[in-house]
Amino acid sequence: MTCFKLYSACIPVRGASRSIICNLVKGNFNYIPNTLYDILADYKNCNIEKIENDFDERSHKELHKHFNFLVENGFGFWCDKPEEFIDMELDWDRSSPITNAIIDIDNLSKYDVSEVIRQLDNFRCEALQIRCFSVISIEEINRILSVTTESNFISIELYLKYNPIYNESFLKDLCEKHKRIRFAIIHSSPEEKVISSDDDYYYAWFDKTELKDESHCGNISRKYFSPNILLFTESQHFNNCLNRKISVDKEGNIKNCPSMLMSYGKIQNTSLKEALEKKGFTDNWIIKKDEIEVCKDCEFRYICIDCRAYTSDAKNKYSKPAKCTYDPYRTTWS
Amino acid sequence: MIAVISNESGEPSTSDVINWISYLGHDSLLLYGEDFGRHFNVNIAFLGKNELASFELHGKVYTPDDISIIWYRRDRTYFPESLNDISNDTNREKVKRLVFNEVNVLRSHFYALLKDKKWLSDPKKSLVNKLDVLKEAASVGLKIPETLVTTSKSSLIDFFQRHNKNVIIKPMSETLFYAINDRQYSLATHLLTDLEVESMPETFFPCLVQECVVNSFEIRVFYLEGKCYSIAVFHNQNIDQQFDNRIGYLDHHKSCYQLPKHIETSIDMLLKNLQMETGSLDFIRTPEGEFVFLEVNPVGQFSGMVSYPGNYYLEKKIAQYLIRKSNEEKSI
Repeated sequence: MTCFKLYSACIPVRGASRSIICNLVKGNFNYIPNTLYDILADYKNCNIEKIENDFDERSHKELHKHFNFLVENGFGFWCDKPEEFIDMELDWDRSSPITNAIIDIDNLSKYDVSEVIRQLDNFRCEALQIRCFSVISIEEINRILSVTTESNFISIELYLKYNPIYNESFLKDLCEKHKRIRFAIIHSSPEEKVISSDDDYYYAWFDKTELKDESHCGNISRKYFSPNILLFTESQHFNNCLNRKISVDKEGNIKNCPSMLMSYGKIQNTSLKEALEKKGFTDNWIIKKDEIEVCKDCEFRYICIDCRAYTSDAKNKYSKPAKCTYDPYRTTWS
Repeated sequence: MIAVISNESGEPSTSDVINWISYLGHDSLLLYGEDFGRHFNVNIAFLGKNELASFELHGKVYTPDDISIIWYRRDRTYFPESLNDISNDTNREKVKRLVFNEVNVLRSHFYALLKDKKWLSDPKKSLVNKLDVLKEAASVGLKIPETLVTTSKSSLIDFFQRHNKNVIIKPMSETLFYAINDRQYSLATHLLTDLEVESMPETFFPCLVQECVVNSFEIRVFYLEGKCYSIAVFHNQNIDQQFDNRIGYLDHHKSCYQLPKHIETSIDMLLKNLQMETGSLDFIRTPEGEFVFLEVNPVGQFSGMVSYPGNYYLEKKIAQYLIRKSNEEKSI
């Protein structure tokens, strides 16, 4: 077996100064030098002899070291007929017109959260984030979440402001009662603590950071990297944060994202469906990573979530996310 | 309208396809196999020569005329919990059998009422005869493993020796899932050992044995309407996994794959001969580059094994197929 081949879900991404190789099925990635990226791209389906012939004999050992690394780490394999193994198409689509949503609540919010959740469920929305910036009662939490019991939501992320009555057993009960809760975060907490179920089905944690409003959002960090097929393919064609997202901010404004300025009506008198159909609502959905300054040169661009609400130049909608501290030219996080 | 018949649980593709149908702007009616003994109210009246049939599901009344096409996945029988009140094991099994038979008569008559409709997967053909299929596969030019069904120890030993003791045994019918002390087990394909062959009696219950084909990798194919969507599955070195890809399949490496044209042509012929418009097929690709056909499952699982790792969007393709055929039926 003389030809090296990457598994179809193992895709290299070239950055300005280095590259990564993602395994989109297993959900991991490794760094590779750009020279190896170029070899993988230029010598697709070539046998090793052909590659060796094109390189100085002194570099052959290095070449084999690289291929062995890729094989040992499950990114590729040796074969005889590389043309049998075809590339994965990078198409992206979902069967829900809205796939993800954010609902913000504080003590001045005057809208019916349960009704918003019902409307989201009609879109077969999959992922929901509920962010409470003020303390709300246990009854209110349960009332809101009870709407999701018979629903299409797959994942619910819950942000609650610390209240002494939110103790460990309350959180366990809550997550067990509402199976769709993926995690619950208690912000503004006096201490930091993590709670998880025995089977890791859900987890919750207490976090000291205070969330006063939507401005905490938009962080870009290694923590949020997700090397999976859905994000990778969506990022090729759409904005991987704003696409198919709808939000209701704490004042009841229907927006693409709560941190964005443009409102498409108040939830009290506009349905989510009406807002979604308004001109301009989906304009930012198509800003993809390859069009964004700096991101387009970054090796993480297809596994990292974008932010278009907080950008380094407010006047340029293609400027780098303001809260990203990574420099792909120097490969440093500051 | 598009009707979907499926089990209530263990069928991840069903709701995906239904969601795609909805996203693409069409209605569907989901009927669970379990509904025949439960939520499904049926009225079938025989009035002289005419038969009037209607059924009610979740408060809505339908007639066969409302349905244009049926996507058939599975139809597990629902057994009322009250069966457990029967303490005598033998009697309980008998009543269970009766419930099954009663539901079966109703269900097969219900399917007969829809017999003029277009079906994607025919319930009568959802359990294929593996031996028939092997014969048919060979006749369309696909290579199959050397296979023996025998009741005789001497024949088995001959076969075993001839294949250098590389012989597997597997059920002729569907696999069986069972539980011992809360752990789930299933009948898996197994490599016969010397000791097992030696310890067989002179004659035994009919067994299917096959030469163990040396494999570079396996190929899982989803076939729909003449098109093949394939994934190569590379096994880990773990011995159990080499013979049964249901064991630990999450650890396998998978890669999008293009079968040679002549194999795809044979697959197309095979499924046409078997009157299947869709199915999931398993092949072994040998180190010599040969393709050995193992099985076809008309209602096999394809989401986790083929659709997602290959980014093939098979659920969407099935929805599009159903919508197109439904429109064609309506326009006739």
